[in-house]
Amino acid sequence: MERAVSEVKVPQDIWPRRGDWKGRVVTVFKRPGDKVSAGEAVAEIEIEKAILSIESPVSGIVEDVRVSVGDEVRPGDVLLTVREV
Amino acid sequence: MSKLALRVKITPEFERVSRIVSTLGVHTVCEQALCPNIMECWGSGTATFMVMGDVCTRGCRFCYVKSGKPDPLDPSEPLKVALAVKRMRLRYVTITSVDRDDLPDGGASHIARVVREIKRLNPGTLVEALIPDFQGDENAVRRVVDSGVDVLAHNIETVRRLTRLVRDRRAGYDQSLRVLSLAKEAKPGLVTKSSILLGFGETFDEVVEAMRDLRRVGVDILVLSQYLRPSPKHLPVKKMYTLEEFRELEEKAYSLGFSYVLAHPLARTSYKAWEAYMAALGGSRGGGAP
Repeated sequence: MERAVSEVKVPQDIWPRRGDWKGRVVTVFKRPGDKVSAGEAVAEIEIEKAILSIESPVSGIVEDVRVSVGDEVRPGDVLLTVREV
Repeated sequence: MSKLALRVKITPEFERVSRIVSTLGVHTVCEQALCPNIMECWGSGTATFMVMGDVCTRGCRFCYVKSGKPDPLDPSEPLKVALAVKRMRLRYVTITSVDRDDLPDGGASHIARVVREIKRLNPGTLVEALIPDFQGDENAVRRVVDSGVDVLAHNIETVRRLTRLVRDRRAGYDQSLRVLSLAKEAKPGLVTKSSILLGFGETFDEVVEAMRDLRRVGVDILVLSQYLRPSPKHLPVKKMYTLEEFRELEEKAYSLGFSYVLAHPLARTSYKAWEAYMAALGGSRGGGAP
């Protein structure tokens, strides 16, 4: 059976009605094929006020990493995808 | 420059608070100012409401709240906020606002209505009003004081020398001290509170001078926190204070007679506000760091 693929996104819900902030990817902890557990940090995004540690909501295998260090990202942007196991 | 690391944690409690504020159509300063404490506060069921819209008539150079021409006041806002407080079951709530220089009383009557409505629907809840300077209007300050508010807060934000740089040109260091003084004169037993953001380039002695000025007008609770630039368009951070430096300033503040001092990089006016109020009432020294 085909396993579900989840997208790990730049969170849109931290400041729910202020979606106009942007950040820069400072660390990507995973590469395609790496195992990841739910709650494990997969990337760090630097915004003006802080560094946000982004965690995977699911466990699985990283399928596709969509960003690189230095990329500018906005709320809702996909960082990577995880094939759930 | 090192930055504070935050773990993104959207918990069910966070989502519950988020649903309440969005379905009732109330604004929070937690969102509007990109407050880094939002996950902790909303995750523990609290929020700080921002009334009179989400557009400020002033443009302070540290603040992320939108600046421009605000919408007319929402007459149903007092009820909406009071209902949100009830749904969240808050024992202590902070009401802050945008500046409304376009209104004859700066919005004082509206803030007073919000306080009264919260008290009517939530008799056991303590209410703090973090108010604008109302351009130093004594009647406006008195109107909020007379609403039954438990804590009256007004922030001087920075030291005297940097006020022109940091705050909107219509704000003033002495004007802010006057507001705090007027509140205390109107009701001597009222707990008053003010905040200083650190990191704009002020010296230690200038911070101490600001603390002395606040004590001179009877301020009970002091909040010292780190300025964090919300966007590249805002003032740069000149200095990140260490925890040791916060502790040193906290000690100094207590020696000047504040009832409670909250000194921490992420402290904000409404942070740990219930604890601060209790300590101020008891006249006892509380723990500073969150």
